[in-house]
Amino acid sequence: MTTSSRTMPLSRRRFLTLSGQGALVAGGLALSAGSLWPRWALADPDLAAGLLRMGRDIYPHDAIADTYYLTPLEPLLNSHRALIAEGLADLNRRARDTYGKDYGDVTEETDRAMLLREIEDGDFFQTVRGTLVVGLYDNPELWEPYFGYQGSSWQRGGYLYRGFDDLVIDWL
Amino acid sequence: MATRFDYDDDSVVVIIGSGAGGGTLAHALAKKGINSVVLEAGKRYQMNDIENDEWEMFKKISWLDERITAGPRQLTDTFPGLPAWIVKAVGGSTIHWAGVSLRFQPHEFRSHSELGDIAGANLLDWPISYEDLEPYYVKAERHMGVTGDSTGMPYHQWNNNFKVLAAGAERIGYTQLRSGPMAINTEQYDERGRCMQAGFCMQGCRFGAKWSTMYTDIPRAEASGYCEVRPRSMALTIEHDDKGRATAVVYADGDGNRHRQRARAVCVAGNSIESPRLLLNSHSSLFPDGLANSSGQVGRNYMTHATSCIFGVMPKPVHMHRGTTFAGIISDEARLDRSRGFAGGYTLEVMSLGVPFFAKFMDPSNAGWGRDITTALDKYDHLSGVWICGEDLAVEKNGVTLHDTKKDQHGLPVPIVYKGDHPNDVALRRHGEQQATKCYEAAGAERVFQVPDFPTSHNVGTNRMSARPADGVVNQWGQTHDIDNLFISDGSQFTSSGAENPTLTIVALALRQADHIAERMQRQEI
Ligand SMILES: Cc1cc2nc3c(=O)[nH]c(=O)nc-3n(C[C@H](O)[C@H](O)[C@H](O)COP(=O)(O)OP(=O)(O)OC[C@H]3O[C@@H](n4cnc5c(N)ncnc54)[C@H](O)[C@@H]3O)c2cc1C
Ligand code: SF4
Repeated sequence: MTTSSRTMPLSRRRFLTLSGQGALVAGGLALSAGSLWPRWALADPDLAAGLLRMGRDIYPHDAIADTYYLTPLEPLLNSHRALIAEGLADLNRRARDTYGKDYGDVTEETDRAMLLREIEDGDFFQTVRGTLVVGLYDNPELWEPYFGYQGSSWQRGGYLYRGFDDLVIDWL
Repeated sequence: MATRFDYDDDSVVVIIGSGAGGGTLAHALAKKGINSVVLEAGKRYQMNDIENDEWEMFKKISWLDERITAGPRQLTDTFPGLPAWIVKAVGGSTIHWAGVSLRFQPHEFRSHSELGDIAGANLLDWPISYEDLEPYYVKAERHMGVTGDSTGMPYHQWNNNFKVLAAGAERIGYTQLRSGPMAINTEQYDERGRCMQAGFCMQGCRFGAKWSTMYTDIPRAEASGYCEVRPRSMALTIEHDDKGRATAVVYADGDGNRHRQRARAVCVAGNSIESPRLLLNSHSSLFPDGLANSSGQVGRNYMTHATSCIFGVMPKPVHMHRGTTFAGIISDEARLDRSRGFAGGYTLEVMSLGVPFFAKFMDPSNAGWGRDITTALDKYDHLSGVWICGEDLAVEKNGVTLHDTKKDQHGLPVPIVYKGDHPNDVALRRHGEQQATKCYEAAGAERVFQVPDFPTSHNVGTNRMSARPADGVVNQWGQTHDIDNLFISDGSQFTSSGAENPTLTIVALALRQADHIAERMQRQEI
């Protein structure tokens, strides 16, 4: 953890590392602790925590580290600040109405997902989701270690000699 | 080289668009010594601009000018500004097409005679038969380098993705399983190398193994000295004289400057949204409803194929991303057999997507998020996919119209692209989805799911061929019924969509049209 995150309230710090195990080793990718949190996120811990929780609920991959969610969401805090701030406030209100606590403090993923289902047709939700669907899945660092997708291949001569037809169907 | 024709040179054929139709035509005319100027809205790219990167290539080469998706279909919600997936570049959509090169079946040229009147559909026979087109299919196959009899090139080795689908298909009794015909070299052909099974066919072929006018027809036409290609040149209107003959094309260059290129004949090949749009935008006092539109059929009968995607999660890694994107074809359901509860047929084509596109397309609806989605993505390397390419029926109200107020960067009305399913399309698609699901279940899939339509790749029918001028826009040569020296040279000529991918037929028609134009010119008729 970096210095500034140590100054955060304890509950938030726990929240921010909720992916825990994923933080240091994601699918075999070693990450330096310093790269976990983009600078803006440290400056805006509330919004960052909310966005992160939301991102992980929208596209939950338990083994992928927080930073891969946070980094692509970062530009939204500049480009759509009001939308994000108001959206998260609204989400918290809904969470308090239903569960008596903030969205991020609702422990069950299915409960949080119910809250998100209510707002999924809104601009706020779709902006976050639309940003993440590219930002998360268009990250070459995750492709092979996490999804088994090998990315650009022409520079290695394609797969003609590297397994385009190597499958043996032995399960039938 | 670098031939340059004068703006006032009215001896040239002006071709609009450099894709499958336009690029082929320019080259075929050049071989006959006929001068042409190709106006292409997009830029020119080099081989090293082609990257194995889905989003990069999408951003780089797609037609992203404003369009409006309309009609009772999911795409209206999911891709409101991107009804179709079309390339804007020298080479057009042949840069990112996947190479599947099937001929239409004979009966598909006789839609109305075979199917009769179907309520809500606007069926019509083509004015040509399969037999008329057959010699040009052979020429097109040799021209493009299609694996199979015409070239003698063997079909591809089956890749993993196809092996999986085929295992299931055979178990449910299908027998017509092939890894071709594909316009993708399996050996050196046409001075181009063989396929390296790199994947990414739909991002452009870095090796040039797949046919594309980008690196075949266009540079060869230019090298002949009979053709000038002007990239970043967007045709705005086609002009005519008071006798109603086309005289010139007005276009905007990359800096927004307008030019008028005079013409002996004009051939429109901007794909099925831009071609009718250009005719509609060229309205005049003589032709108040747009050029060549006395039938009122310009922009109508838009067909996209009834499509759907089915993916299966297999017990072991498949690595569908390895090898050609569309690697295999199953034709058992392509026949006409109304006992299945629908007219027309469909082809099952094995396909793959990379992680970026799969994540985006798997369920683009607002509700397409959560564990249902990510558990499939977690199994990305275990996936196998198939695309259903089904005949959709011509429906008059499906088509391209102009927006009343919205204008593009050139000041032209934005096109509204309307498409709804005919009940027959719905029945056909459902049947295809069921059969594809059975295939994957028979292959041992742990989970099978459906991926909804993405922006349409096959766009045809909006300037259709007809024997009678009242029923369509062009005659059997692609020549407009109304204007002798105005031709349509792309897939918008199609009278029916067939159960097959369109490009081979577009190329065959363009080669046939080139012969016709040359003859007519020789006879001084145009
Ligand atoms: C991902 C994908 C995969 C595909 N795979 C296959 C396949 O396997 N088999 C198959 O048969 N088909 C396939 N297709 C379809 C195929 O690409 C098209 O059918 C074919 O390229 C259409 O040819 P065309 O000449 O009508 O238009 P295009 O090839 O799209 O060319 C039109 C050109 O005209 C230009 N243009 C448009 N308007 C203007 C204007 N006003 N002024 C100047 N220029 C203009 C455009 O910029 C473009 O370059 C695929 C398509 C996609 C998207
Ligand atoms: S798989 Fe073959 S045809 Fe497709 S892009 Fe790669 S080399 Fe080209």
